[in-house]
Amino acid sequence: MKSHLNQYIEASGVRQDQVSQIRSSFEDIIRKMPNISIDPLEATIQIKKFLFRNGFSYQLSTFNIQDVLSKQGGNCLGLPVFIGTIMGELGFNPKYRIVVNPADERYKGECILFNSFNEEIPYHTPELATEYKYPYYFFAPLEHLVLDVDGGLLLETTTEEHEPTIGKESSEQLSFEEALSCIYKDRAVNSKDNQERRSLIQKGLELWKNNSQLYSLLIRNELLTLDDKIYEEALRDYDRTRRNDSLHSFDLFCFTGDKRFLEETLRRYPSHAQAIAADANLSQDSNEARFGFALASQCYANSAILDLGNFYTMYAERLAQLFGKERIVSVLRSFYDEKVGDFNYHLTLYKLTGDLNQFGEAEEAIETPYDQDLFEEYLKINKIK
Amino acid sequence: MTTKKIKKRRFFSPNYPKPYPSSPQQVGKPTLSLQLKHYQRDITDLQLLVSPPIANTSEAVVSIDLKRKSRELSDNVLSEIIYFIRDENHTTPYTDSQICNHLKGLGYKIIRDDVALARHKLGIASSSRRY
Repeated sequence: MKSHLNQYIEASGVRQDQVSQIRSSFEDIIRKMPNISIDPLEATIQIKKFLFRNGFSYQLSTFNIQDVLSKQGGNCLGLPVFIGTIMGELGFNPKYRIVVNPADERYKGECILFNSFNEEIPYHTPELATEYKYPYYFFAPLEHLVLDVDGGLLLETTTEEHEPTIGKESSEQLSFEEALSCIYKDRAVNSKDNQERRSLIQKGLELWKNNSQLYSLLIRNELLTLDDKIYEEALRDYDRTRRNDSLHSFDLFCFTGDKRFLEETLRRYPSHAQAIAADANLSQDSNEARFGFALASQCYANSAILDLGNFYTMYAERLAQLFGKERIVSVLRSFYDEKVGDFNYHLTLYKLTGDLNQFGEAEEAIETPYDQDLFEEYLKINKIK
Repeated sequence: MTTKKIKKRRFFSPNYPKPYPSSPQQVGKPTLSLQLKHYQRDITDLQLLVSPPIANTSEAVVSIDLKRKSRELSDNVLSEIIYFIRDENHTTPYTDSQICNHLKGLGYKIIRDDVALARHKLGIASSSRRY
C-alpha cells in the first residue's frame, strides 16, 4: 500500500524529476517536528501549531503538495490534506468532513452586505455594478474541508482557531483517499484541456466514486465535447450521489432547467449570485428583472470567486433590453483585456454589435466541438463569408 | 457522436438559455431520469459552478488585480508576433494557436488568450479577417 505522502504526491501530479526534492522537503518538516502526542486530537493541534509557527499560512488556490511546500501554505483543501499527510506518515489515520457553505464570519458579513443591497438599490431605478468593488465575499456555496478527529470532533486548519464554524448546509465524512479525490477535482477545474480534464476526473473518481462534484464537472465537460454516452452516465451518477444543499440544487437547475431547483437554491442560499441572476433572467416582469440583475451584479462585484465579465457575457442580450444596448456594449468592452480569447465573449459582442471582427475573434477562440458546432450554425444562419 | 445528437443539444440558446418548460411529467419531485435531455448549459461559468474549495477564513485577502487576471505582455513577445505574422501566407494566415505554439517553441510561457490580447494591442485582426 502506498504511503500517505506518495499518494499526495501522485494526486498532485508532481513531475518525476521533482519527486525526490518534494520528499526531502517534506521529511525535513517531519524531522523538525517536536514529539507528537499519541492522542489524535492533541497530535493534530500540535502539527497545526508547528506549521503556523514555522511560517505556514492560508494561501488562496494552493492545494498541490509542490505548491503547499513552496508557498508554505494552502487553501482549505491544501492545508488539511497536508496536515493529514503528516499525520498519516506518523501512524495516524486521518479523516475528514466536507462541508458546504459553513456559516462563518465571512458568510455573516456577506449576509449583512446582501441585506444592505436589498435595502439600498432603488426598485424603480436600479443601477448595475460595472466594476469590482471589494471582492472578498463569495456569494456562492463552496465545499470546505475540515479534519474529523477522533470520531466527529472537527478541526479547522485554515485559521489559528481550532473549532470550525457551527452551521452549514450539508456535510459528509471522507477518508484520506476520498479527500485526495478533491485534489484531482481542483486540478481538473483548472485544466484548460478537455481530454486532460476528463482523465483527472476519472482518477478522482477511482479514489471516491461518490464525489458528486466530479460528476458535475464531467457533465459540463461532456456538454462541450459532445460525448453523449459519458454525459448521460455522469448525469445518472450525479443524481445518485448528490447531497441536499444549494450547491447541488443549483447544479440540478443548470442540468434540467427546472425552476423548482432554482427556487430551492434561493431558499437555502438567498445571496447566491448566480441563482439571483438566473431568476431575474426568467422573470417576465421587467421591474423585477431589472432589480434582480442589479442585485446580482452587486454580488458579483463583491465576490472573490465570481467573474463580473462572465455575468455580462451571459446575460448581455437581456441586459441590453432592460438597461439599453449601448450601455451594455460599453460595459462589455470594458472587460476586453480580461475576456479576450473567450469564445462566448466575442460571440456575444458580435450578436450585440454586428461587428464582424468580433465574429472573427470568436472563430479564433473556438476550443471545443460545441463551440465549433455553434459557430458553424451562426455562419450558416447569418450567411457570413 | 452524431449530428442528430448535436442538434438535440441545441435546444437552448448558447449563453444561459431559457429553462425547459415544465411538463406534466415533472409533477412531483423532479428526477434527472425524466429530464435527461432537458438541460441547460453554461459554458462561461464552467469554472465557477464547480469552484475549487476555498477556505472560509477572514485572513484571506483577494487582490483585485489578481481577480482581474491582468496580463503583462513583454515587448519581446509583441515583436515576435509581428515578425511571425509579417511572413505569413496571406491565403492561410496563422491562427492564434499556431502563433502560440511558435512562441512556446521559442521558450516563451504563453497561452492562446495572450496572443489574442497581443493582437488586440497591436491592432492586428484575427486570422479570418486579416486580409
